[in-house]
Amino acid sequence: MSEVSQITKPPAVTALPDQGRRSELSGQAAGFWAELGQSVKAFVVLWGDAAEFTWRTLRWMVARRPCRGTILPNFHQIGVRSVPVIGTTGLFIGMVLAVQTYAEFTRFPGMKSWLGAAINASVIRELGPVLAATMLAGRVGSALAAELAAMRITEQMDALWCLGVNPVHYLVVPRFLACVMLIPLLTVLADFMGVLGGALISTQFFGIESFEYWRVSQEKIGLWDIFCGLTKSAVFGAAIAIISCHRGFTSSGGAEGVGRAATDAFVVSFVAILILDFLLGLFFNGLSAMIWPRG
Amino acid sequence: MSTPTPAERQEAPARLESRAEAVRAPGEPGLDALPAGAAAAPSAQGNRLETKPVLRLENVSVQFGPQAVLRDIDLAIPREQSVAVIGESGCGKTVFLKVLVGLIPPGRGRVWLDGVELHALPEQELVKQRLRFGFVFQAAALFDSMSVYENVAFPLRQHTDLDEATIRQRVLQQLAEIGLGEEVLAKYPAELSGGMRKRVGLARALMLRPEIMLYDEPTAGLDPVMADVINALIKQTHERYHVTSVVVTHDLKTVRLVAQRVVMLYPVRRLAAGESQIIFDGTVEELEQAQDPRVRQFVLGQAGEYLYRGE
Repeated sequence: MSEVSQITKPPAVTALPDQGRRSELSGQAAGFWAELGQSVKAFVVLWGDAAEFTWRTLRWMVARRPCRGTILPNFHQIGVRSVPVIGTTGLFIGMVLAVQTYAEFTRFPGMKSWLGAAINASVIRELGPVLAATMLAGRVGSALAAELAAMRITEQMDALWCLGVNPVHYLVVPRFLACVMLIPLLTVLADFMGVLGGALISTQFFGIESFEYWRVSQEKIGLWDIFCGLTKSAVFGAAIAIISCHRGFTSSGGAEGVGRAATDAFVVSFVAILILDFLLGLFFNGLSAMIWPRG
Repeated sequence: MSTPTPAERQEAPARLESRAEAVRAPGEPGLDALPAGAAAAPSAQGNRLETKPVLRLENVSVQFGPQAVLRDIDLAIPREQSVAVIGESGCGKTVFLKVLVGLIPPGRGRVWLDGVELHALPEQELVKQRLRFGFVFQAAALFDSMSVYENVAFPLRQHTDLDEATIRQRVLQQLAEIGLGEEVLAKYPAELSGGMRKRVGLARALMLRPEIMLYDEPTAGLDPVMADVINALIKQTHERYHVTSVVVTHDLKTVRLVAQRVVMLYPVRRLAAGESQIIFDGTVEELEQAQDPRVRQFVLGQAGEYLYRGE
């Protein structure tokens, strides 16, 4: 025993002078810059890798038609099975909006009938697309990342390569297509349920006159708003698919890595959704100002 | 059936024998092309087979971060040879296999497959060349989302236009060869025992009639009976399809049963500078007689000074 412990000691001893050197001022500064350099490098590598992954996905999407039997199961898993959760969230967000805005709008006489415009505009422009995307990121994004990461650690990715199948083509392309093509439909569902929930609470519970409610809504919300919302959602869907699949593909470290990939996929997707939402909001505002100049 | 009864184990090789002629891959240079018994000869195969090597590694080095896994590996594997690659855990055996099949690019050096430099090929071409390999993974790597039938049919569905009836017949035939019946078809990988999973993995790897079979720890984690079944199947596959076999293992029983040539790798971190990572290359008989203490330690399964190294 004593022999073993004596032999295991040297590494600990050699580590000490290293620490001593680091505690010097100049050493500390160098350590800081080295660390900063490392993280900048890691950041650039990650972005480069993600960009290359996106490029490969898009190329495989057009290079060859998707592998047989991969489209339907993924569309079912990603689209159909998200319907209940997205429908429910949409309904409640509409109802919550009605409850919250009603209190504010009743403070001024004659504002009541504007409630419909406020609720429906929020739902269709922002909350519908963002909520549908968030739910998709939570329900599908993390599951995708975990599934692909698990396939990676159990060598199923290698098995695909060995059987002459490109994992990006076989695994990523159908999932990407499902996310991009189905999220606008899920957003339509979220929008519809949100509008329904808002109207239900406003007209049935708070007693706002139904005709006025809908008339104002119709006046204030046009096809452009719906178009912007749905286009945004397609971009969100693409971001969710790429981020989640990329996390799964680059995971490492066994079971812990699978868990980390799943969590990261959701967190990064969520942040990306909000950033994209902001940028796309600016873009669409600029675009609409260009198409319909004021005055 | 988690483990086959003795009767079933007897049956599998018998079935293999009876179909030996029928399933020989067309266009495959069969035994006829070689002097009788050449493929099965346990010794001097390297000189006897005058075909040029089907696989050749030239100064192959692989490094993960700061850690060197393979260092300057030089190795030529003649066609239809059965090579066992042995060595302790962590000496780079699995990485060696993955370099061979083009899954891990070597940091330095080249891998030649029939005179084609594997890692210099464009991706599409590399994927095509990989179909010449059959890879049996350590944990089988069956696709969990597919049934056994879908797993075994997968290569055919991806690379042929065969109709469903033909695919089904080919799948059943391949499963019968490795001693599995129709009752496993609908099962999912999670419902199978380790030995069955490995056999399904072998069947899947054989579907496209590869020229080179690679096995990653084929008997690891199996009971002795199932390990023997797998060893027998490796030997049968080698003899029957005239494949080149590379078996990565630390099971000496596997080595004695299936290998014509043994190559032993040693962990790079414990090698002196300039020392070859291949510390043994010879026949099984020579392995048993080897004088190198590192080889002897492995063959005899002794801890040696290991305990005092603090690892």
